[in-house]
Amino acid sequence: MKNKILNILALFAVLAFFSSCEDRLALEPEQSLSEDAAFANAAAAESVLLGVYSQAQLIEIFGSQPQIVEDYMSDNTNFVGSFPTLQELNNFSAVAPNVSIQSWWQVHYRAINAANTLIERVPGIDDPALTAERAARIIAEAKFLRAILYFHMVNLWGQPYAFDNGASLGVPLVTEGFTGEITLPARSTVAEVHAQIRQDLVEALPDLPASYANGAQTRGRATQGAANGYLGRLHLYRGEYAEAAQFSAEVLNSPLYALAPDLSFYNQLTSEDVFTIVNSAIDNPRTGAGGWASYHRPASQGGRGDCPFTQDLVDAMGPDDLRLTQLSDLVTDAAGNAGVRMTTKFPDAATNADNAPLMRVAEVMLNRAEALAELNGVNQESLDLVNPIRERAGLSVWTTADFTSGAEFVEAILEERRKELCFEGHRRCDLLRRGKGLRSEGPFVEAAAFGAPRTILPIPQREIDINPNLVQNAGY
Amino acid sequence: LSFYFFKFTLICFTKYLITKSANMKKLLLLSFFLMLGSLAAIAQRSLTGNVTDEKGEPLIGANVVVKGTTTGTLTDVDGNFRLTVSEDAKTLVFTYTGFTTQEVEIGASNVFSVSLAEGVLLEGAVVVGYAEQEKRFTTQAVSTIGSEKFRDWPVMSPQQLLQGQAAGVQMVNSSGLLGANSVIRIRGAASLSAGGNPLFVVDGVPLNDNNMSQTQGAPAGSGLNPLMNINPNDIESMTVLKDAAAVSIYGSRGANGVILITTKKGKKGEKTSINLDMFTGFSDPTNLEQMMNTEQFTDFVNGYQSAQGLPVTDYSSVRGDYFDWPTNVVRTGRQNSANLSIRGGSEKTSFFVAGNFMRESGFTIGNEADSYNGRFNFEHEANRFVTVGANVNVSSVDMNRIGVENNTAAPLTSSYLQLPFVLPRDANGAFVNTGFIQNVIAREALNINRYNTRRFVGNVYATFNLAPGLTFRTDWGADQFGTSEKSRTVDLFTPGGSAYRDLRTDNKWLSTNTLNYTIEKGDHAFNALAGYAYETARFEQVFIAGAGFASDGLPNISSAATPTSTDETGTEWSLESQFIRLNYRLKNKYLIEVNGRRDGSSRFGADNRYGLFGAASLGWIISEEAFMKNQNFFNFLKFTASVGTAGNDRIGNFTSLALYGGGVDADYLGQAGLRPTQVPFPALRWEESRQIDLGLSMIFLNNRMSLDVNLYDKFTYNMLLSNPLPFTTGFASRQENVGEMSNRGIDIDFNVNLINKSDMSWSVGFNAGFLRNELLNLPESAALDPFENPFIPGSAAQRAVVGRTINEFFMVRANGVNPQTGDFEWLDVDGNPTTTYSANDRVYVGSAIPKFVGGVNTNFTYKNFDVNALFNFTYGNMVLIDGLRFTENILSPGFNKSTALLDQWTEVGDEAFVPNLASPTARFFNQPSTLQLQDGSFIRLRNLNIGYTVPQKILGNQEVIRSARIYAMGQNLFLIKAKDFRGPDPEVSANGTNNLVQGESFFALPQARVFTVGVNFGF
Repeated sequence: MKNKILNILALFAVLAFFSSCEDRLALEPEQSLSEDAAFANAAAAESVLLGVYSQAQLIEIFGSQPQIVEDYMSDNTNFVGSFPTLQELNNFSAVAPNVSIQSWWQVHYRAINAANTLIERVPGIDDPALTAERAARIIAEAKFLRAILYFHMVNLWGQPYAFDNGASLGVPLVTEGFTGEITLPARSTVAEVHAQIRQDLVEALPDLPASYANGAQTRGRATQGAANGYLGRLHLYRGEYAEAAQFSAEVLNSPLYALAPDLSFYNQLTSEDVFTIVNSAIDNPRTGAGGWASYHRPASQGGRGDCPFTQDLVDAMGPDDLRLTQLSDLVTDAAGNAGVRMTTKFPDAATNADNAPLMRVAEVMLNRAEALAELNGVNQESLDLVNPIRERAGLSVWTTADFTSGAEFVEAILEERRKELCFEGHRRCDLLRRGKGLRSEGPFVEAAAFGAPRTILPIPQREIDINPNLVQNAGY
Repeated sequence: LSFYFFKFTLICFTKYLITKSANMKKLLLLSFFLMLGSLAAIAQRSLTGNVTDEKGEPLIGANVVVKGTTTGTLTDVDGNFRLTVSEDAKTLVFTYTGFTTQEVEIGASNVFSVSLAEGVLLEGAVVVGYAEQEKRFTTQAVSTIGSEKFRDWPVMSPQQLLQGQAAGVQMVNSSGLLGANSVIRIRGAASLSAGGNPLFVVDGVPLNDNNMSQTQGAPAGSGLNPLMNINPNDIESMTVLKDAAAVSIYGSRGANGVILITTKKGKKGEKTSINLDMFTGFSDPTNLEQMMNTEQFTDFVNGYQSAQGLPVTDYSSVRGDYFDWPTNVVRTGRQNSANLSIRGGSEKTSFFVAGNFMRESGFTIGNEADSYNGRFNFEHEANRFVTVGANVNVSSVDMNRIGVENNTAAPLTSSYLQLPFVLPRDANGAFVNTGFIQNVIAREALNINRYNTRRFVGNVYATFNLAPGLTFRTDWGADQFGTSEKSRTVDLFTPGGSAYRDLRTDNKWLSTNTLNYTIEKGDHAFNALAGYAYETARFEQVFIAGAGFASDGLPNISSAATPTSTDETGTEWSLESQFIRLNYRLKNKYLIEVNGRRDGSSRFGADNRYGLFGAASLGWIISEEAFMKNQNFFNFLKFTASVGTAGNDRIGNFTSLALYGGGVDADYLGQAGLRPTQVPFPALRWEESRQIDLGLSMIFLNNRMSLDVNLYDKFTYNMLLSNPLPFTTGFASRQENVGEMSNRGIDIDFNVNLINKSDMSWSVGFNAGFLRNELLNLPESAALDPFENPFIPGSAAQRAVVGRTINEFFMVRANGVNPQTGDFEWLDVDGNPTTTYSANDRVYVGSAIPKFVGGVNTNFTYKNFDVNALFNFTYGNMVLIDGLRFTENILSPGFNKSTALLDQWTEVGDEAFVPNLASPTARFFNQPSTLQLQDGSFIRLRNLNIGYTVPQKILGNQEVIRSARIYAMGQNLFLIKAKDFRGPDPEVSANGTNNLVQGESFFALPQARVFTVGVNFGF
């Protein structure tokens, strides 16, 4: 009997251990690829590149949230929405743990890391389909994206160049892909960040195509025109007007770009678009966070109605400006105020498929006009750049006789710029780079003054907590 | 021959029972001798009678003995007995396992009707991993909650039955929402960021607990309740495995504790009985916030605007409008349930069949659930070698759900924030769109938000008696869980309308094969269990969405103009295990047990795929020692000690790999893209908890009182931690094995039978778990707080800090309004008042982990009445009511405010809640601070139940209704909480089972107060 039991036990033990089978435990993920597979060939690398563009679509980068802040922290819109983290910025009472600001920071670096990894790994791909030209173009697009991401960040978290010639702190510069080794980078100065942006754009220029076979890609992906446009804007922000004028001219000399004849070009991908992040109905709806139209459209159209025009902007535009009459309507805002004005540049609150018009020909023309006015005072070429924009808006053309001084001319160009580019995320930087306060009336004039600490964002507290090398901005 | 056959059967049966329960064996042998004895006795007086429990249910096999003699008998299947005694017999002693012994004088009457009260006796079997053990002899620390502890409870989810019922088990309802998941912690959190829920095992089948829905309804992150499909009426007992000796046999899944759910079974030879239970009830919220009306709101906003020099909003056109949103999204909830069960058995077969229907509507609009549940448990003894059986449960739950609580689509959340002058309907009576703060009344009236689940949980098994004492059992189980979610938003909210459908399945199967060998010889008793198990589950999801419908009358996505999402995912895991248990008992007083398990999991990299877990435990039944024989105080005294390990594998399926994902988050301009989604950590390995437990279990004062005390020290190491990375790496976190944590505590369980008479009984039970949690160690890369302590952030307000708990609130201290200046003041890091709010002034202000939790239950019966009450309590924790940052927001005119803001400082000397509206500090008033952090201690009357059992004489002689009982029950009848507590409920867990964020709420629904009345018939 004992033996029988022992035999059964032994048999069972043998069965149990021999039935153990590694295969059943070796399972593979189905929704993801390993990093090596993602850089196995040219096609996969192209996909990783598109993934960077895809992240740039997100609400935290060019998907509207930082852009609406640029307009309401300054004087273009009133923020009447209920999000405390956004409302804080409107009241200049934001604190370092603000989760909206934290997620912008996070998502920017997420996209930057993908670009960094591409720049590093593409040269190592062994695939005959990856010609030297193709590899260079992929890397150039990644550098372009990295540059505009850093430009966006340094404008949010760093004082403008005009504050102290870029000596104050910008953001940490990370230019290597993350492989597991945790680094704790300190913040580079604004000037250092600018240098990196310029280097990336200049290096990308020769390898970028002028255009793509697909017309939408010519508007929605990195091109020589887009890189020149950003170089022009960068130098304009630095007050380096000769370079600003020159890079802007490179864009305007290209036959690919021309001012659209009327104001119906938004979301159309026309020759007006120098660089636009293109969105579709499947890109944003599932985030639940919304997009451009969710802030700029009223509840009756599926938005939140958070960002009506300020009276100041309505007054500045005047009643006959087509950019007011054709590109806005009277609706009820989130606070229940009826008959307030909101922009219709971004109409689709149902699927948030509106494009992000990051760089338009009109802006490049205004960039060059402003730069030339700074260099040459009242001049005909600047007038020739601004007048078509005014004409398109149904306004009278300017002549040299309208201006008594170069300074007055520059002011007029800036005012025209405000009306042309409102709601596209330019206003805050356009004021600060010229040494102006963000608001000229109301209770926050002092807090919004040029150089005031809360005109730039706090470094997220989470990052300060984890990375002791980070220094918080003054006043937070 | 027949005699031989009888003897053989008896021997076989007896031996079978030895393996099952030595206690039963004793009963049987006793009855055998009693029968012999009764034959031999000289018949002088014949006594008859009936023995029942307090509910009037007959007790089968109760012992009836003449005191001081061996004369006695057992009751039959109807609880009746007939006993012939000598004339000089004076007292009858009635005993029954698990019940208090009762002595009855033999007077003139020859007929006895005896009702036994349930006692605290340490008799009977207790369910442990893969087996049952005699409670007396077990060396494992377990708590058993039998069905009598939750009789008549109108709950949808079995976890709720655990609250306040077992020492060391903290159960927190995350919301008053139907189907909300609850947080269960057994002896504290055993992990930082791996899953924190215990393993639920139903009749040997570990349940799936993947997230099976979009985040809505229940608090984000906590998901739906994995036990929603288990009918509480089917549960015979729930056993909470607590110490290493108990959980280590569940190896890599044991560290969070294990809850074994055993369903009701029939008994062989039991007369078929039918039980019908029906109840109906209603519910309402225990607490609603007071919000401003239109006049208060517009005055407040204008007052603030003019005080601060802001443009003053003109509210003149809306001042006449007012709609009280909160009271209009709340209603009286209803509950109706019918439960029918049939159980019985023949000589070789036993069965339990049950069906349940429950319909419940929550106290907020739009929240409804219907559940249907069927069970068939069955066992058949094919021959003396083979027994086969099955436990099968099929269920479906159909719900109408509401928006997630941190979203303005949730009725109650939105009703608090909605501006009071905003009306749900226009002048023509049509619903209007109220914007971002949604018109939830219209949403619930017009939109579709359905959730349906279908679940099959069951197993089939066969047991082979291979040789005396040796059995082999093979058990094949499955948990097939499918859910379907449908949402359709009408044109009013999204132009053109939108819809999505989310189908998920989580299908598991497993095979468990065990050999069990038991031998008892003289002073020695030995049991060995060896097993092999394989378990695998596949999770799949199909998600489709569309927008743009021609009409609201088209509910399905095929009518959508734009398909906005088509998504399919699938993932799998598998676990292969060998396990063993060796148990030896000497002289029925010295006990030793060893458990071991080797798990191989697909979740870990090839290098660390296998993990070994084990435990050893000792027991000493002191009351069996000779030196204890002369005392009368202790009826039973046992000391146990155990040490061992268990693990945690809840980290997702492919956590150690560097991954790139595609899909709509990576595409651009219509072309497929890829993006980095996960950072590699190839060294990832098992998280382990080592636990030491010392226990003392005693019964004393004539079996009237029992006390169980367990001391434990649980040390968790190689913790699976989602270690936050600087965002500059491009990633938010990665899974690593870092850090060490300690949970030490005492579990106390005390029960007393205060009164124990045939027509009156009163018992009281008390349990409490004292816990001290401390994070011991984090990696060097961890962030340092201003005091140089490494920490891991959990939420914006709390963190796990070395030297403190893992749920330590780190916040700016609010100091209130300065009566002199009218400014709001905070305390700076040194404790000095300041009018500047700064995150640099954050300090540690308390932990979300209670110092102790527990419950008090009491059961009182008088004649046919019975009263049960259960209180549960929590002490010494802080809770963050984060929604107050919205409702107590001074500056925003965009949403309504709490009436608490009306208490404003206006002149020097005012002791006010709200600062002078002109003060610059007013803007910062609602920034995160201890203003929102509150004492979470409470004691709550969780249940009060009054029942009346209709006496047999009223039922008369009819043969149809065997028993009848009516009952009334109240849940959450009252709550004692901290003075000045602001918020819906101190019982909160907005982040569900996330161990790093506990005790925070964001507009959580308060608990429901529920009243039910019911009837119960036995046929």
